[in-house]
Amino acid sequence: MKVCIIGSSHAAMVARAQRAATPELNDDWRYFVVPSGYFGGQGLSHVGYNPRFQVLTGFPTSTPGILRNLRIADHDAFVLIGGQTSPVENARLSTRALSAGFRRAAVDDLLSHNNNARLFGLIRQVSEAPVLAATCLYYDKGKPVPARDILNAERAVATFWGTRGVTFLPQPRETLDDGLVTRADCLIGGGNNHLKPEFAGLVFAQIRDALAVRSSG
Amino acid sequence: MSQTPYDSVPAKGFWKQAVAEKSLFDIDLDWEPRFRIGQQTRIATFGSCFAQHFGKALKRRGMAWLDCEPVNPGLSDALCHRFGYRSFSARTGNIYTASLLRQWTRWAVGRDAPPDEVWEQDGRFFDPFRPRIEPGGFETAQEVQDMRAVTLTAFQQAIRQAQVFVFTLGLTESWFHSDGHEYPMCPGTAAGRFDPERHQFRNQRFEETRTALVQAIHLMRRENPQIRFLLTVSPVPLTATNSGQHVVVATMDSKSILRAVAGDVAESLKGVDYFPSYEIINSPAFRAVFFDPNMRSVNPRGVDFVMETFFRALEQKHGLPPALGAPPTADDIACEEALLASFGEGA
Repeated sequence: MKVCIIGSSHAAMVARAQRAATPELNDDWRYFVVPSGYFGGQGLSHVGYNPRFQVLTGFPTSTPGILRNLRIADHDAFVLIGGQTSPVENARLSTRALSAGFRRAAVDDLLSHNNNARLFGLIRQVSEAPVLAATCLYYDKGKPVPARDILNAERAVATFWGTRGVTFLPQPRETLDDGLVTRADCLIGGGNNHLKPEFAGLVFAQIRDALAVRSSG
Repeated sequence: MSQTPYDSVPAKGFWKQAVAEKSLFDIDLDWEPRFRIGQQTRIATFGSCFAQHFGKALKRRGMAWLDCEPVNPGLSDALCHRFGYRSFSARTGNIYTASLLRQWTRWAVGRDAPPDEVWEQDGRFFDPFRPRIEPGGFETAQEVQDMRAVTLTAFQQAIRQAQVFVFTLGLTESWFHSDGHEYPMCPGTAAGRFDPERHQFRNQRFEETRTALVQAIHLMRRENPQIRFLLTVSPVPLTATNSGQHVVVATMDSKSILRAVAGDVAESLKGVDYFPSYEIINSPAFRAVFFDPNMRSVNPRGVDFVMETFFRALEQKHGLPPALGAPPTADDIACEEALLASFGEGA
């Protein structure tokens, strides 16, 4: 099964975990990565699409040995990582003084106008292969957000993807504290806000298990 | 022949050398900024719709554009602009006239309280002082007041935090309530109902416009004595006029007054400068190439040309570093390391 992982640098952390745990999958799991700061901060927004060849273009980094353009039809499953804001960020709407109308429009906007959604739409133009989606890590960079609101926001993300036949991958609970934000001890630290390899391994396992379910289904 | 003062005027002072013998894209109006605007200078932008281009360009350039009413960074610009966020430094909507700027300032610094007027239409509620800020209207009259209070706080923050306050003058034609407060648009156009008994048209002349602008500046300086002002005049013609004149004549009348006021205030007050975006778009030297076919909307090339002129002057006169794209953050560097390590290239 050719699995295509598209995402931010957090996808590269999954690559590291997968390659350490299951090197036999190295040929079949292919990574196409655009860190958020690349291309003047455009990150995944920089990824283009060539409809003639049905390829996604513009990845600065991909699994060594394969082309940097991604031919959609070559893959049996897709995993989208980090191309949308986390439930923590989405829930932050509840902490701001906003009108009810804007709040509703903003929730819809956060769910539907993001790189995961855009890439999903492009994939579906070509392929009916299973798609899995994960948000950015559940950081809390500003005013604390109530856990209840984060949970509701996470449900909204899951519902959005569920109605589109996409499996949503919530951040593994082992990496979250009671407030549903990423535990500091799970991160590499020192300015590096990526999961430590052992915790990135949980994400890899989550993907592998979800793909097994999709395949058996 | 005797010597005259014109002997020492540089080439830019002569139409032939500065305009007629040049490609229009090589014409440089050689703006001389009166004060330094650097990468870290905190800049607030308000005014008519052309001011939105200023804010966006400052942001793209990585300058310290003030967003005093921020929303989630993950939201699309399209949604935010539709609801009036990320367009100006607070969600005021367009401030077309100098008197509207003075009105917002008086409300923000507590000199006056805004009237409690709210427009209701088909069960939805509109803010008369920014009737298009909430597409479809607010849910309750109270929400109108609450959201305006949020914006007034943000506007006050913009005044207090800004080192440079950019204001684009747009109109002289204005609509007032008989009680004295001013609307940004004629009641009944975007929302509300026009009442000829209460709603009064006034085409403000030079002195009225100048007085309002100077008073607004003085009020802001009481909040922030260090604040400096950069005035521009919107080159966008009037959509419609209530003056009885042809819309072209009314536009020239209005813009001439605004241009004269901006120039006069910049000449007479310290810490006030004028940037000639109006001239770049409207001067015959540029042959109207920066307008869309409707001869009203400024096209993206025109906006870029204006902003290139602005940034070039800051680079040449005040050492603003050239645009190099956003500098990498600690996260970006960490991302690089993660990527390389993942594929075994960083060992």
